[in-house]
Amino acid sequence: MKRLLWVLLAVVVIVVVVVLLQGRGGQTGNETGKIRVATDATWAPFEYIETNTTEIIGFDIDLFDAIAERADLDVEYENVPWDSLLAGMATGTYDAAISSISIRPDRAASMNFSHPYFTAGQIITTLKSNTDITGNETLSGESIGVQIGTTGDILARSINGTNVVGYEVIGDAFTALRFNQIDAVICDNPVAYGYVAKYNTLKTVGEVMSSEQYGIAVARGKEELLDKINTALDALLAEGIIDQLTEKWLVPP
Amino acid sequence: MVLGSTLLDFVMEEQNKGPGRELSFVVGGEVNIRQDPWWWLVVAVAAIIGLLVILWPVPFRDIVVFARDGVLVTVLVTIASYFLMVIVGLLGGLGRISRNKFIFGISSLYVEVVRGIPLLVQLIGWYFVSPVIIQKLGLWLNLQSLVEYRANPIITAIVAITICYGAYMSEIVRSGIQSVPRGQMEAARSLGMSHFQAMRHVVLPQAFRVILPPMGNEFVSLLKDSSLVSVVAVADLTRRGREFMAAHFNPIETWLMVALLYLIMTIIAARVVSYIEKRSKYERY
Repeated sequence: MKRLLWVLLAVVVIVVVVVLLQGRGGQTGNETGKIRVATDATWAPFEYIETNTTEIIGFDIDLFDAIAERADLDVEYENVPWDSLLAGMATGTYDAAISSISIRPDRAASMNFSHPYFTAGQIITTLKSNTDITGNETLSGESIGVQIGTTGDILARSINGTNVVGYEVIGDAFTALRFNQIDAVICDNPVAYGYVAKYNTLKTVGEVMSSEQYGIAVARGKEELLDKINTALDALLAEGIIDQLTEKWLVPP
Repeated sequence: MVLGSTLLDFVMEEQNKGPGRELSFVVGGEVNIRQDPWWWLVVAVAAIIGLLVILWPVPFRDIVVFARDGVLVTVLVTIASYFLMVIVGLLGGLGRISRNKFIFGISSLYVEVVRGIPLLVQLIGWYFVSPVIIQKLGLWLNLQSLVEYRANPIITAIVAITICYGAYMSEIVRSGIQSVPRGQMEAARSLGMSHFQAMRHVVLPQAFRVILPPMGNEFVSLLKDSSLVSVVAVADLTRRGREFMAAHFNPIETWLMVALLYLIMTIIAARVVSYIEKRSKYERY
């Protein structure tokens, strides 16, 4: 009995110490002024892991690095899954996020957005051998791969009679498509063009089905950071950074 | 201090109520009717879920409504793979004690290899690799139906879990059989039973009582590990939780409700397991 109490006491002490130490760690992190930027690095060519160096690279990363340089920010990128990224931005786990986030009213209700920096839209990708799918009116009864929580997911669910198959990352959906496990993939058009250029068994079909604007998400209550980002972003946009990055990263359709 | 001692008293009281003491007044099956006090935990968790759903329909009721088919998928995957893995485990366990070198070698290799690879890795492997192999096989055999093969995610997940858990189960079965004294088999054989008859009527029934508690454990951990199938496009409870969070950005409420739904399933399963354990124990005396 006495021994049990001592053990319990020891456990409580250890827990308290660990919690305190962690709290400390978080504070020192803030004092150095590093901002935590979340990104879902599975969305080539905007943000992805370079397999040789295991570093996060891409269009968005170059853009945010340029912003950080202008606004004199110390950035620490956090690679997180897409659903956790949105939820983490809503709860303030991260200071900001750059991850091809389309500005939507429901998202803007729980996080702030910078000025838009890129326009994209949803497009259907299918196998070259598939002649049935020619556009969104031919998707009924087909199974469509999406990445959960993306605007492609939202759009696919809004089309009647489709079987939406949600994947953790968009690359898994394209893998499943290449091995004929699903009929089509819906995602942002620059991403689709990238995969089509990489695998010659794939093609995009139909028109781009929406017009969405990417913005940098900034957590609520960090309006100062949002202003800094917007100022730097506006200057960079005026200098034509998007054209340079498009040239560097994106594949023409 | 007070809380600690009452909790301890309670546990000790429960232990004193164990089979040894109850036997004094048990003649028929009366004990089985006695309430298992831990059912109150089930009631408590169910009450918490009910209260959350009634008091805050947004978002808790929405989560339950959105995730209800996910709960069904979780239950289906768990029960289907559990029954299959018990069969695989029985065969694997018998293989592990076989005198036949070939059967022993194959089953040992199966156990050692499969046990050493995480379930998540196996699931992803099965989901992405098995269709490719089957399609290649179709090309080779010139069978059009195989070339166009499309994996059903739920069935693929059940197969992967069955194979993974079958390896653990094999070891449980093996240790159970080996825990039965050798004399039991020898006595049965000397009474004229064949090896198979002795195994079927004498050794396995005794081994079964030994492996029942770990089998129950396996059921509960399989129920929890079934959450891993969400990565291979199976819309189970965890996947529904992630989808809900991705659409409504409310991690706290979503995962609280998902955790409670898992908890109620696992504690009900644990109760059922302990009930079966109790029943099978009394036959012993």
